[in-house]
Amino acid sequence: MSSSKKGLGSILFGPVFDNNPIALQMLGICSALAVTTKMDKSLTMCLAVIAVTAVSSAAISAIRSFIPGSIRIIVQMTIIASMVIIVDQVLKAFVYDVSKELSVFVGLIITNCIVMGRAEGFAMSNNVRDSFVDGVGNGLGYSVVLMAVAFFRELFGSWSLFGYQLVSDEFKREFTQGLMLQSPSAFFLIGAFIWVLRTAKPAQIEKA
Amino acid sequence: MQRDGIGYIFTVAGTVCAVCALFVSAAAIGLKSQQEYWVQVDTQRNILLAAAADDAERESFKKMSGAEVKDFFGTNFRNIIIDLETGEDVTGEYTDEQKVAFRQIEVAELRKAGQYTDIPPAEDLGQIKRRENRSHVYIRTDSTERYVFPVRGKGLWSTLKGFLALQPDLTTAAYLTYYSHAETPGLGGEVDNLGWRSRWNGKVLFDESGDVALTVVKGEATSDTQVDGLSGATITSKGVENMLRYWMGDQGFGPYLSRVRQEKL
Repeated sequence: MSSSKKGLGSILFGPVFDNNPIALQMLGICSALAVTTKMDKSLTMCLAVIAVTAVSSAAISAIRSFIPGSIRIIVQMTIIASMVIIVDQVLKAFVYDVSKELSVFVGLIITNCIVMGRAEGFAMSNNVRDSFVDGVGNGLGYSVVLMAVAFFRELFGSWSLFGYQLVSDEFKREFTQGLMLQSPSAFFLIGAFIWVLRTAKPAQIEKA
Repeated sequence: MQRDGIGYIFTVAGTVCAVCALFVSAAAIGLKSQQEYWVQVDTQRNILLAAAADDAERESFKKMSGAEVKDFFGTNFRNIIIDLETGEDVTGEYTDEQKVAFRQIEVAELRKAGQYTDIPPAEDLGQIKRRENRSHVYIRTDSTERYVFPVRGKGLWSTLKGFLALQPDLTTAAYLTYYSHAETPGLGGEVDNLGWRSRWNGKVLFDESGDVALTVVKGEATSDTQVDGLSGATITSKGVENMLRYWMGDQGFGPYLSRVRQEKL
């Protein structure tokens, strides 16, 4: 990867639309199903993922020349896992209610393929600053999809955004889409997101 | 040192672990007091919800900030610790700090202190295997008098933990709320349903001799001692009935209840 030639801007924004970890690489879909029923829940999850990818990528990059090849994955996992625990602790201390709702899914960031993928695929061969920015960028790419999915699920599932109800109670009773609150709806929405994205950027279409 | 040598690998692994451990412990210790604050607020908020006079007040409790919850709880509630076997109030043995720190559900801690009793399987209606010897009781003392009891027991998948609020006569229920469970969403998970919760208001839990009379029934409840079960959730409903029978019975808060009823006469 010769990304040292890439500008910081493209490292940061590349993963958002051109090389989106969820939409193009199909990584990290699992948590996208679980935490997208409400936007405030998703936002917290997104910030947590951004923090974890950015800091763990930077930390791994900082010690990349000391990591022996044979145990590099374990070292990466250790750093990522520690970062996830720290983020979980911070959430419990400052946004207790949301962290209670997110429950195990914060802990499961450890297994989010995006984090591991960036550590192994980028941070191991790039400098600290680029790795940090790459982590933020991929976290943002994940966030864009998550927030888009959460927007539609909360809007049509509960007729509210960030917990603020937008319609009258009667309207809500009449027109609520129960399906939107169930996990499968996230698949449909991610599918639609990918469709829109690939229509706009035909280069992302894989050869059949 | 050679980068692939065994010694080098161990050194790197050890250093990484030590540094990570340092950060994790620093975060855990540094944030502990802040986390405990929120755990307390959460518990107290749930007690408030159980003890609310009506749904409107309940809504206002939900919207309160952490500091407001603590303030309201501090001024309007009396938090006592009782001995479950005798029903005696033993709060005097605790300082205020110990009272707050007393957590009855932490089995490991209780075991260390020898403060729990194994429940014989035949009597173990709530399927909780062991019961603490002492328990919190929360009494709301302002214009709405309520007695709030922590209850727990097994449903279908999980142990449900919650609070049961009784009216001042200590015979009639006011509200039942669960703050932790993992029942099936939409079926057993409907123990969270506001409609179902408020059905508990006015239900008579005891018969005239003071024995637990409550039953959770299928279909329509026909008397004051019956509560409609949750449709499609027979086992969760039965679990709720059993745990209330246990906790309101002689093994649970029974002795305390009869003691207070006596005092009130």
